[in-house]
Amino acid sequence: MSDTYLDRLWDAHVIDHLEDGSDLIHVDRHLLHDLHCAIAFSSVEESGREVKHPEMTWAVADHMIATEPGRTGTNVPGAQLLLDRMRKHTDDYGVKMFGIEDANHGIIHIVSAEQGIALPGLTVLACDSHACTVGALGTLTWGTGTSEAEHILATQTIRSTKPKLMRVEFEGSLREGVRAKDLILHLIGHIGGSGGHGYAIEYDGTALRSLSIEDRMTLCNMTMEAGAEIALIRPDEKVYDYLKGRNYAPAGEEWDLAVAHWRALAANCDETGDRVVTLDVSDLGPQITWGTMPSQVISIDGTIPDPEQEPDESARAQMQRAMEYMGVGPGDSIKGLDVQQVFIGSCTNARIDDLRRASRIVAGKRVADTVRAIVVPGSRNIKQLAEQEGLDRIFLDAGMEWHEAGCSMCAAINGDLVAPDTRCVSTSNRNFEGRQGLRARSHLVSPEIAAACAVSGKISNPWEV
Amino acid sequence: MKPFENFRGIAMPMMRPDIDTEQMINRDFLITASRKGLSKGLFHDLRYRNGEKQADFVMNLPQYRDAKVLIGGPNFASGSSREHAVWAVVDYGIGAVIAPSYGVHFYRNALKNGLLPVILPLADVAEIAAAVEASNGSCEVAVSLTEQTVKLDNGKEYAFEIHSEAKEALLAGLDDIERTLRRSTRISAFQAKDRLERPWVYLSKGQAPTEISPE
Repeated sequence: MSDTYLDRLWDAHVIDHLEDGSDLIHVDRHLLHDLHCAIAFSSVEESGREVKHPEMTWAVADHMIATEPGRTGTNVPGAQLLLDRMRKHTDDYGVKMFGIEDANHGIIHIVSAEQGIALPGLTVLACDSHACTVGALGTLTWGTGTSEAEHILATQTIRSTKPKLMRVEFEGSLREGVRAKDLILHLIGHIGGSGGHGYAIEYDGTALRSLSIEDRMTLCNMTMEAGAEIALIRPDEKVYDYLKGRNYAPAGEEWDLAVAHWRALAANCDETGDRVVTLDVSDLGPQITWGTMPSQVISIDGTIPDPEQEPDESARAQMQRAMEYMGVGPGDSIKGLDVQQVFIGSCTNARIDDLRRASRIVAGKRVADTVRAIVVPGSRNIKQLAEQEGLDRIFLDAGMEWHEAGCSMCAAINGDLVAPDTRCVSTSNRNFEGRQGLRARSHLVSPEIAAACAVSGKISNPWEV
Repeated sequence: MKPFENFRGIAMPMMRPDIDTEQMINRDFLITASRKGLSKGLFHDLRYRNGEKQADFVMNLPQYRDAKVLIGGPNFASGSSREHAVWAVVDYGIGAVIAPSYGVHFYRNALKNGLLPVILPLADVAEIAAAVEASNGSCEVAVSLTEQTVKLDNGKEYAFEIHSEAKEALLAGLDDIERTLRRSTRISAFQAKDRLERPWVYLSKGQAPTEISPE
């Protein structure tokens, strides 16, 4: 019997084995956001069932809400009604809601970490595919649909099958400017956008262990774009330091008990997997996507690949379609492409350190006249901290917009849109056709590169010698 | 959930790989409090451009208007977990999708909504799509969940695998929640034991956190 960290977490949550080999899994923490709340709660209501454990469920308004300074709600027609229902349902059932007025409001996966809702060893289910973000804390976490959310509300359980395990080892020491975003984009390029299908991915290796908790969340966040819905990192002391004192984390004696439990849980695990991918990342440069899938990625100093070199016909057609959509050609250098929009934000890259790093690039400079650049912090707490450090002044003085927290231009559901046929350099997680706006051309990058592109008005490498 | 019934109908081929759920249903149709009526948003941005119907997009071809089966490429309906993609497909009148592989969320969401996601090898799916296209849509497809087969009007037959529990649930239209609630005693027993080992997991009802600012 294998005894990996995944095995330990999974087995500790099995309530019952179901007929077909799937398991009934206990849900320790459940999070919902505004796109699902109205339907999930009204379905429970109409069925006459109860919300089994309202104290273990949280609801966050993040996708639909406006983010411009001075916002009062949403700018999307019809969305206020859904937000009002969310408020009423959560009040009726006794579920804690993080609305825009809440001191701890933010993006769902940022709030769950920041508030200590997600903890090592716990199952955390959220009705959003980027639930994998908090796997960085040693949490067993994945995303659900609305019907599964309804199931959790009514039963505090989910029916699921244990995935296979892929171990990804990032080895080596990272070059200057190369961080979590580059590692995950590189991995997606390496195994492909469906390379992780059927797997949970556990990350380890010397380069991985050198990352901060915030960076590890960036890495785990885009595991979804590698086709795996579960990301895992065995917790270490950095995790416990990060979580201590957070609002929903245990305190006092219970904290000591919990940490002892977590240390034991993470110790002497089998470090094996059904597939092992080892990547030496010492020579890796900053990454950027050139196409319409996160797997279409190259080094910032690289050139757009040539579809003629692609033997598979269907893949070749995909590349050609992506090139046409993105307005790039084979052999073109990615650097130098004109940029009209820059977005720094999202559950991938809107934490305080992301903002600090972006601010260092723009400090004392001006954004190019041709660029609209917006910075959207991941939570109200992050925004406040950034303002205490004066980061807002740096962005504003450079001619960037400084917004309130929310998903904003990543999900692009709240009205924050990239204009049609324009190019956006974005710290978010998806560059699909139309994701950030109709015919929007998105390039996924780290916060530093996004900031550098805003200043130069072109795709550029801030570390170029 | 309505029990799944075997059926025969027009199949619509859409073999491009990696079609994601955002292409299936865009942002404008997510603001809804209902699972119904979303077919108008299905593949909206591929059906229309600048308000104009795209005549060459498969859904706009008259022969596929009443399609009951959707034939998809590898990694079909990947990306965002939005269940709206499944609701839109179901609302359009599609009863089964045939593809080599699916986005994980779409697959699970489909089963929760009575939509059958058939998995067949890429070569078979391509063959079915080619037969349908060659016949200009007139080669219909019969989907039998009971027999686990897809049969074409041209006589070709393909067998597919599906989890026995998923099959049973679809055929009976079983409600997952009802089935799980029958195990309430097991769930309570699990929680009672777990609470002793991991007391920090179990918060008290109405427990208000102290307002500490992080960092």
